Amino acid sequence: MGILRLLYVILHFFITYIHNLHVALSELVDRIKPVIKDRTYHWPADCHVLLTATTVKLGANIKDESLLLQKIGSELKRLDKLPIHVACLLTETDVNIDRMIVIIQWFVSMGVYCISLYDHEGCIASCQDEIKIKLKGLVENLPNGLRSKSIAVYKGFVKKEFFSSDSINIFLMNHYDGKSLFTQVAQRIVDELNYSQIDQSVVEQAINQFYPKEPELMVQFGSLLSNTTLGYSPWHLRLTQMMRAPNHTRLRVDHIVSTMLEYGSCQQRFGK
Amino acid sequence: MSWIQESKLKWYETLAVNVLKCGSIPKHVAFIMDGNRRFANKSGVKKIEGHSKGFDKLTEVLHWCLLLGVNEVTVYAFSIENFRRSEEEVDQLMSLAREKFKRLLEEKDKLNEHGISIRVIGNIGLLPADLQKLVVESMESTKSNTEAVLNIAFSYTSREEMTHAVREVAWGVQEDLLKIDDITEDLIQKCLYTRHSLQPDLLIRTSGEVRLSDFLLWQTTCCTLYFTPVLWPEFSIWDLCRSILHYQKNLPVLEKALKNSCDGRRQPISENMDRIEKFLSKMEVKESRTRNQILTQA
Repeated sequence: MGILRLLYVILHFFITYIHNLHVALSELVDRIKPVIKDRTYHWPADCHVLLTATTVKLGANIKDESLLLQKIGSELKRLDKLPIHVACLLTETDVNIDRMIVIIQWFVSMGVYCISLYDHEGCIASCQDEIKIKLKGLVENLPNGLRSKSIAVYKGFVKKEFFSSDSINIFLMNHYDGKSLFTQVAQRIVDELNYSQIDQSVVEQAINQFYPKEPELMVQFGSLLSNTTLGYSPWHLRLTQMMRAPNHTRLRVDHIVSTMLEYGSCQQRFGK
Repeated sequence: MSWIQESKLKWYETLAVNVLKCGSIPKHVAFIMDGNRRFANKSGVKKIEGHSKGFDKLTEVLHWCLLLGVNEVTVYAFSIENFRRSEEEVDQLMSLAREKFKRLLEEKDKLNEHGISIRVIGNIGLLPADLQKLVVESMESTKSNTEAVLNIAFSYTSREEMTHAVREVAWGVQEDLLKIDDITEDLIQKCLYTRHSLQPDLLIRTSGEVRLSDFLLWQTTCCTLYFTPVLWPEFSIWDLCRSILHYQKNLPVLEKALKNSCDGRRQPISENMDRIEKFLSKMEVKESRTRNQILTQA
């Protein structure tokens, strides 16, 4: 029995090692060449051609990138597949603020004006001032039509009366903005209502007093092998599409493009 | 098909299982069994046949989980949102459920022998009365088993579950069993349908969709989510092994990303604890009374 057990342990080590190699190799390949994931996108043919033609040029010219992202954003909007709110989940311990600003810029160029940045520990939330300052510089790099938009940076969830849907809204969150929001809302509901008056629409209405609302898309940055939510507000993740992207420090624009295309090709059946 | 599968694995499958058991095995795995209708379409059979194959696959997967040492499994059988499907499909699904729960009751001795406890989570009040009775009977007849647990989410959505928890807490406050300050994340967790279970370590969704669709939202905050493009009726033991390997690889990185205790549970102050314990036991009594009412109705 001892020998058999030893054999199993050796084999386990072996498959884990092979799996590690496989993951490292995929990351290496990904660093070398931009890849738009091979998936049947239900896209108009000319958009697909544009994407294939410009893949090699990505990263070379900011103006080209900006135009490409605008084109993708407008196509997604036309197909009713542009997320209103994108949640960015950071799993890395070291956060590179400059990189995050660039990523926000990419999303804004596509037409996503509500972005939440979440990390479990709160590193992002503690850099609120630095982010505010650096975001001011972002406005110059935005396409013409967006330069007049103001940028608002909030910590955690914010009440409806303090929120403006005309600005570009960035929310900085950590795990204290997760289940604890629901608990606070529950306390308020219990204080004001009889238990027989409480139903799902009451709770929904109470939670909708806070912004941001449900994210349509959650992008998880970092090296975790599988998806996870790391404590992001559970009520808000009912129908959120969850996708993964590489570590935010080495994220390229084609990764974001690939993620948005994949999001665009997802079909929601809503139970039907 | 029987609820208990006793088919033997091939030698190389047993080898794979034993190798995986050298790493950490999740104690609780949740499944979103998606893809039955697409499978039916692909195979050219009726949708209900796809759902039936889905059930057969469920019994197989439960057997594999037991062999791997997974003690608790939760499956998303029917969402409250699924009531929006065509009347014909909903009726067919209810008939399938009746057939399977009746079979479960016929096999309760076998289930008791294996020590398997069945729990149905969800708002069963939305189901037809006769099905409610079958569900409660199934739970009652296996409730004393402790070896393994199967939670079947039937007529369930996570938001409805969280709303139910708020309603229970509100009842507690109204009955003077609780104070508003007693309402914490921990208390809400103890009022969910899944209060007797550990949080899932691994959630597997088949058919390629990458969302939770209102399933165990509260319970999966520290969970490894594994999305696979395989359709549920085609899910093989290798897919299960692959997901567990991913869980094993993901675990140290996930723990590092979370660092502190996952749910950030704050222990209630001791003076509240007695009050909360009293409220929770009264809540159990209330639930038990509701179940008895369902059992005794004609």
